[in-house]
Amino acid sequence: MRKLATLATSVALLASVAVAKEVKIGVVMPMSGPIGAFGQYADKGLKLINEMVPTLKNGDTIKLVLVDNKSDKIESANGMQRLISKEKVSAVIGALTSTNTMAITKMADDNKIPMVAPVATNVLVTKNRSFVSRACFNDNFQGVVAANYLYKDLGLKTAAIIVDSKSDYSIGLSNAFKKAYKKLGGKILKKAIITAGDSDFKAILSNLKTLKPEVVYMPLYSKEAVLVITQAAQLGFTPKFMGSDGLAGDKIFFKLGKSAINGTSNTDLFSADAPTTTKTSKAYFDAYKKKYGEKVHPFAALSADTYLMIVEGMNQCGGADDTVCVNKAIRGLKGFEAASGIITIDENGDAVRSAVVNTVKDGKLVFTKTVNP
Amino acid sequence: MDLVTFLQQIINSFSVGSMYALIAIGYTMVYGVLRLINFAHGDIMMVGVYFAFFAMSVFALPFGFAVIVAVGGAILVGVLIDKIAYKPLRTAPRISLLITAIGMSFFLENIVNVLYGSTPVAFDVPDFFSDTFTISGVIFTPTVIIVPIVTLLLLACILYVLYRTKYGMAIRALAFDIETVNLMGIDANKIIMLVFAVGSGLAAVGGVFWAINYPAIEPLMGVLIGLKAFAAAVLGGIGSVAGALLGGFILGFTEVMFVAFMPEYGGYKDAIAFVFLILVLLFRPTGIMGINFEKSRF
Repeated sequence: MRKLATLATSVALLASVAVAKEVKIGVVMPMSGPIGAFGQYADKGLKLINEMVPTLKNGDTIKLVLVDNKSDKIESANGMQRLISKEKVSAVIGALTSTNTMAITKMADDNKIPMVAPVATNVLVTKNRSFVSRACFNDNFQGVVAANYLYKDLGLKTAAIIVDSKSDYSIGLSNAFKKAYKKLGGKILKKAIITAGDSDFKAILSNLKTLKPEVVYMPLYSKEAVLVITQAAQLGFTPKFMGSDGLAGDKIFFKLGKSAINGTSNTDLFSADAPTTTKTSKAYFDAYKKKYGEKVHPFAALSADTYLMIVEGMNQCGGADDTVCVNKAIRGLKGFEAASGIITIDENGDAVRSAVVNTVKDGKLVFTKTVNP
Repeated sequence: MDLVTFLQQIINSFSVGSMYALIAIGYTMVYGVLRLINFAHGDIMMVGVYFAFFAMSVFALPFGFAVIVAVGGAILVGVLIDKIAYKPLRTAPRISLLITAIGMSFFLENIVNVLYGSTPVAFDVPDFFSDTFTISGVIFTPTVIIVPIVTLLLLACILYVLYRTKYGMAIRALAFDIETVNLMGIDANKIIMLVFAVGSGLAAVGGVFWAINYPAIEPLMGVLIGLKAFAAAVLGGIGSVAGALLGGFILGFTEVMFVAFMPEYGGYKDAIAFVFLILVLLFRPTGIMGINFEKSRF
């Protein structure tokens, strides 16, 4: 009997030593490929917040396992598979763009792994996916913000839209914008379609120029956006260009845009210039500036948000093992102080939070206003 | 559509068409001589552009010199590819050559990917190229004038070389019958090297023009352009240099006009080249300026 007791005690002791274990959070990001720059910013943000918050309340260390999806949705699915079956992660952050994110949401649901998307804004990302939440608002809100700003604040009543047919993000946003803008009384003169990877837009722009729209709404990513704007300038076509949160994600937008992009606005998730709302934000922004020598990038801040949301969920559930509990906790966050501001998650898994509008002045993105939901 | 916009679109077409034409000429010459569709050609163009980028970013060379580096670099790469990958397969079945060409294509793309990453890089274009000037309502940029003129000049040079010099005669003879040429005492391999050099140099010029117009470059930029230029070469008659020029302009014109009149269908723009390819192969496989290789008019 005594032998058994000693044995039991020693096993218990060993087990308690092993209790401070490692929690793995999987990260699926585009680190290379056409939108590689987006992922690199997000990665910077995640590395920093992991340094700042390296453990859960119960002492478990948090390890980020990064998979590069090469800007491709098939690679996203492969990466997700690897993270779930081989690395056995407890939660996933990813995959930045809506198209790539939507490729992996089903796997999160099927395997009951809570997944939080930092910046994927297409409505379908969280629809019918009980294990998927996001730190950002969805396109219905973003489209409305853009339409309101253009119609009400700037009084521009005619618009043309340029959509990227390869990107669900672009398609979803343009539909949301079209609906909202028309509801306000604005007129959509034309909807032109391009494909990501295209370089020549002069034909489309010459056509749009004849219609004389006051606004061109273009929910495109940085490379296509900057080529559109510079080519329009070369054609003498200078309407108000309005973009969305994918617009300035890549520095190439400013490098190639030079003076042609001045006056372009975009709706965005967050601006480093906006008045900071929480203590956590201030601490994070300062630490980011100190470590990387530049202002916080929206993708970095939003990725840090997802990290904090997951950590909070795990803390509330006493650890990472009960993934159903963690997911429920994440979905139940209300008024949560995250790195970029205050987040409340609604019953769909979408974040209810403010959007900002930025405008380019002298080749730099400058904060213009905050729009609350 | 009013006249001014129509003219504007015509100008756009010339610009796009010449770039396709420059690259199509390289395809057509190599095919004429080796009966090989050099799928790595689009990537040689891309390598040329990256050489220019390298020259400007690492050595801070002025733009003109960077272009020379681009052309030189592309010629070097093109000749090396012939020597390493295609020469050993001179007598092999054509499928082996085709597979090698595709392999070379992947190789070039991934080498550049490793060296520069696949995120688009900003190509430094001198401001001169962005200055616009207007003539009766139609807006021109310098490239729109320069590119077609340079293309036509280069074409004229090539035709002169082909028909008025001994090397040109050798190239045309090679297109006719490669084995007999060797019997005649001409080193076929040297002539083939010359063909690759010329084709690659032209591709580099086309690539630099492309990068001037669309200054975001990436390792896969040559793929679609190369495929479309190939389609243009087939359309014009593969093996014919003038045909490549014609095919390039037709393709550029159709693409631009299609989008100009129907921007809602802009997403289908890339399909046009391949629709042409299918139609040509179905109805007139030798292309517009069809080459009858028995008579071998280059």
